[in-house]
Amino acid sequence: MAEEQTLSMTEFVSKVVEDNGADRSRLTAILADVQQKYNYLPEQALRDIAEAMEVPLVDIYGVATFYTLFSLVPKGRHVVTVCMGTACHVRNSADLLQELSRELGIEPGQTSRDMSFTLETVNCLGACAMGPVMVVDGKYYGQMTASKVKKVLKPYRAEKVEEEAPSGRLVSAADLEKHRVGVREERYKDSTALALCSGTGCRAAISKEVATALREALRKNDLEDNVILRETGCRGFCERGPILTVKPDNILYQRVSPGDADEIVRETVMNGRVVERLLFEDPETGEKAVHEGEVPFYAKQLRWVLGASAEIDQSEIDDYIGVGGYRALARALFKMQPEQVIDEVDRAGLRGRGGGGFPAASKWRACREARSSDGVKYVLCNADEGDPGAFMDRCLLEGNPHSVLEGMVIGAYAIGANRGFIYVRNEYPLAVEKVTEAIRQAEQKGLLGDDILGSGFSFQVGVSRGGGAFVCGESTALMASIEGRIGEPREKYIHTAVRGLYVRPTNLNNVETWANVPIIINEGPDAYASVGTEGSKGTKIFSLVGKIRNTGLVEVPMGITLREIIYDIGGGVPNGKRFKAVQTGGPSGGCIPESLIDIPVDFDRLYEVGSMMGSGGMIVMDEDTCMVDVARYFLDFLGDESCGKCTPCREGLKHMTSIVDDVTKGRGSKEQLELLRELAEVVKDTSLCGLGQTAANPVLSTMRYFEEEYCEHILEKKCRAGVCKALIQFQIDAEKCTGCGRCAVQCPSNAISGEKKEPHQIDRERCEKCGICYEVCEYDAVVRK
Amino acid sequence: MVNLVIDGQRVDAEEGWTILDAARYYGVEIPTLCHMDGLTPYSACRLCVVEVRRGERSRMVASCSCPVEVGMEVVTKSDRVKKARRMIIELMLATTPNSRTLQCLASEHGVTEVRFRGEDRRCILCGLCIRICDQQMRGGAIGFSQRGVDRTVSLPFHKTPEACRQCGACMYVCPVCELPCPGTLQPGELCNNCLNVVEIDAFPSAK
Ligand SMILES: Cc1cc2nc3c(=O)[nH]c(=O)nc-3n(C[C@H](O)[C@H](O)[C@H](O)COP(=O)(O)O)c2cc1C
Ligand code: SF4
Ligand code: SF4
Ligand code: SF4
Ligand code: FES
Ligand code: FES
Ligand code: FES
Repeated sequence: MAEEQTLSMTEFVSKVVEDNGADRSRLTAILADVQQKYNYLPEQALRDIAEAMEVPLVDIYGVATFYTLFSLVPKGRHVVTVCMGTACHVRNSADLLQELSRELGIEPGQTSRDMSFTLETVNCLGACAMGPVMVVDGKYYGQMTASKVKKVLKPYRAEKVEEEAPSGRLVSAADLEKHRVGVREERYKDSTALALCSGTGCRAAISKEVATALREALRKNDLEDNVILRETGCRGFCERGPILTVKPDNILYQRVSPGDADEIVRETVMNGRVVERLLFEDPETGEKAVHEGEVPFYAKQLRWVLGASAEIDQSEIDDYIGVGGYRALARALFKMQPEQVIDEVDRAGLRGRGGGGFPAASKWRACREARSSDGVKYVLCNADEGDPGAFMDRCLLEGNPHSVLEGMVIGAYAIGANRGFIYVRNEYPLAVEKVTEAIRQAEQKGLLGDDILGSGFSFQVGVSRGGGAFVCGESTALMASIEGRIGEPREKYIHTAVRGLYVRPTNLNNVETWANVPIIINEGPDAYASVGTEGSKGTKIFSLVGKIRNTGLVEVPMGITLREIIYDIGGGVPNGKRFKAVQTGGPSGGCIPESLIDIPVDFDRLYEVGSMMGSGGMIVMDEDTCMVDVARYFLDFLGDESCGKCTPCREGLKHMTSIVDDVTKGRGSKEQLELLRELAEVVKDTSLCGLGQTAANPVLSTMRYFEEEYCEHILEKKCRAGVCKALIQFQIDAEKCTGCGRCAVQCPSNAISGEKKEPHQIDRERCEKCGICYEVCEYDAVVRK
Repeated sequence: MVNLVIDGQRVDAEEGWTILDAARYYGVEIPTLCHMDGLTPYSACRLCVVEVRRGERSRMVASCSCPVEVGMEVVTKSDRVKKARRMIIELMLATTPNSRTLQCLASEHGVTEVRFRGEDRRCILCGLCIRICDQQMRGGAIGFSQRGVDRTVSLPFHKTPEACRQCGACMYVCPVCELPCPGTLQPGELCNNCLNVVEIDAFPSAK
């Protein structure tokens, strides 16, 4: 460190370039390193990078301004990031942002004058189950509301927060286990073992502290050498986190706190007794569940892909091997011809899980048959997961990275590719770390790299980090981004299977698609295809979020109905509210109304009703969600995320947003809606890439199923959900108000007045409609009209 | 030789041609903005879209980059295509109202009103300037910065870089940096004078 301090900027830059290699594909990594050091990208540094890499300055400037990760202006000491993802949006993150902006006196994207705070927004942090989420300097705050803002910011203002080492927790998990690994005998005997969830959701709910306490309790009882504590990936039930299972009986504890550690070790580990109060209790029947399968959330799931995560430590390749990992790879390499692998994947009916649902085997075959000028072919993994409100890929990569790697190696063998990249979005630093670690471990074990398992087949894989751009999930943009250029799509009249990354034949699949491959090889294509519908086989993982009782990750057999997912697994809509719609397919998908929730989960059926399977975001909306606002939200999102290359998408989105925005402000008209329809048609028809081609779906599907809400906004100037600020007023119901004064104290604009114990009033002129009074009143006296 | 059909006419094209190449060779007009011979196709303006039919199925493609294929049926003037072109011209005019090129296109294609809120950005982001600088002048001095609606053509840090030789090629190719259309006064207004001109038969004796 001390040595680095003395380096001049030019020296530092040349060192970074040297460490990373001057190859263009390292550009985003180099920029990220420089930004980490200076907190932003100084002009001189960019000039130095251009010189050191021999790349035109304008290209570097273009990349630095394209990705949201980079900043050309200095940032504050504390960076406050508010999630504007869909799941957080439907839980009012807009109010949260407004309040933060007021509290800090800066707009999103700005830095306070004293350089203490920078306020930023992000589209989904992959912690949707905890929404609305905000992050201050890497620390997650879940279930945030406008009224909690002051309290959260307080310690940062005082500058006294103890630093949370972002990587400490991982290292300790690995360190703890490292010297005790080996064969299954050692780690998977019938003896007691603890599996504590360390996924993002549970981490926000202090699973790290629980781990420390458990370890301490084991140590106190001299059990540290006999009882394995595994820190696993997300178990899906984040709502009830931290989740802990105790082997061999598989007892499931939920909402575990550090204070419970002693009791768990004393009772369950040492004496085999169940700690009743930590069990899941059905909110309806009051029945307690001891094991996973007895909890309704898990009962209807089929956890083929996610299941193993519960059995293995996040950072242990031996655990993965212990539960049967890399067996499929060995089988493919030694017992099957490449074509045979493709045939099995074909027979299994595997379709891409990244959104489009394209048959995987067809793509593999095309890539296998394509000729490469120098024999190089690429296999890529799409872990950009840009769909706001979705976090399946994050959990898979963090919880079971080897299953994805194994799938990729098998795919590479089938295709005849020797190089690959995993493209991970920048908002997932932990996933980057886990995957990088997994690659290193697999290479050490000879499961990756040169001459895999002595078969003569070699496959090198690297990790490429995104820079915060949704469009980089699109295949050609992703490839441009890996090459170190602006993430801008290009025409695909010649398929990427023929001409992809670095103009070589390239095959791209999603994280979940890859993780399905070992299952197909292990179970056989027929067993795999026995689950699902005619056109959709196997399982699909969804992130079930929004206005739903059990938020979390669910893996279900294809063909299950939306109703079963929402009601049986998700437990329905909380707080006695009415279900309104479920959104699938992310920004390319649509909203499915209540009348259609008996349709099965199936690529083709979802498409027919104007939505799509998408990558797996499933956002539940209730009567308090305004469908016009949802449409505006997605248009806004897409406008921000459009690369800006082609006219219809760039300009069309701008005007579509403005038309829908007018509707939410009570300024809309029927003629404008007609224009919107006309425009939407052309944007769909003529946009260059999938982003623009599907951009109109959310607005078209809401217009199709919720036209009366649009009409109400336009004709009656009314928002029935009470979301569109311009159309609502806050009032106090004098009958219900007890005059407690709570609202008046909390109201940031001093708009509430009244004598103690007398009904209060809201001054409409002053009211900023932040909704804090509505939130804090314990007597439901504040009404939204 | 690739045999295909353009607007009902059976034609032979060379392997590797784009639909635009073939159409131009046979005298079929397709309007373009971001395309220029000698520069790599960029397919960003989308003005050159045409319909490609195959049996019942039909899709819209950018003719400036879509290669010809055997048996392709190309339709360059269907209602779907015309509607799309008009909308694209209208969208561009909403950001770049006084371009003579765009005003002329508006008249040619029958765009008679701009229904969107206007601005005056004076650039349609066709990228011709960037490509000519890089590919023909070996400059690499200008590029795109930002993204989405904020995208602009810019100089790094808004300073003329050493790489720029002030050759002026960028200005030469720009469809917007030209003398503004003389007929318009306000952004959002359309000249449409040429529309009226078309009505007059300029060469009566030729008939
Ligand atoms: C704008 C846009 C964003 C996308 N984002 C993602 C993404 O985040 N993750 C993903 O796997 N696929 C994404 N896709 C789909 C990919 O382009 C590609 O189809 C997919 O990764 C192929 O893998 P699969 O066949 O296994 O689904 C996106 C597509 C578009 C047009
Ligand atoms: S459709 Fe949108 S995201 Fe795709 S290339 Fe065009 S402008 Fe870029
Ligand atoms: S918090 Fe509710 S009860 Fe208390 S003063 Fe405000 S409106 Fe009245
Ligand atoms: S400045 Fe002119 S040539 Fe360059 S992108 Fe804009 S319109 Fe095209
Ligand atoms: S974390 Fe906010 S939507 Fe995902
Ligand atoms: S993070 Fe623990 S259950 Fe999801
Ligand atoms: S000329 Fe083809 S898209 Fe611009």
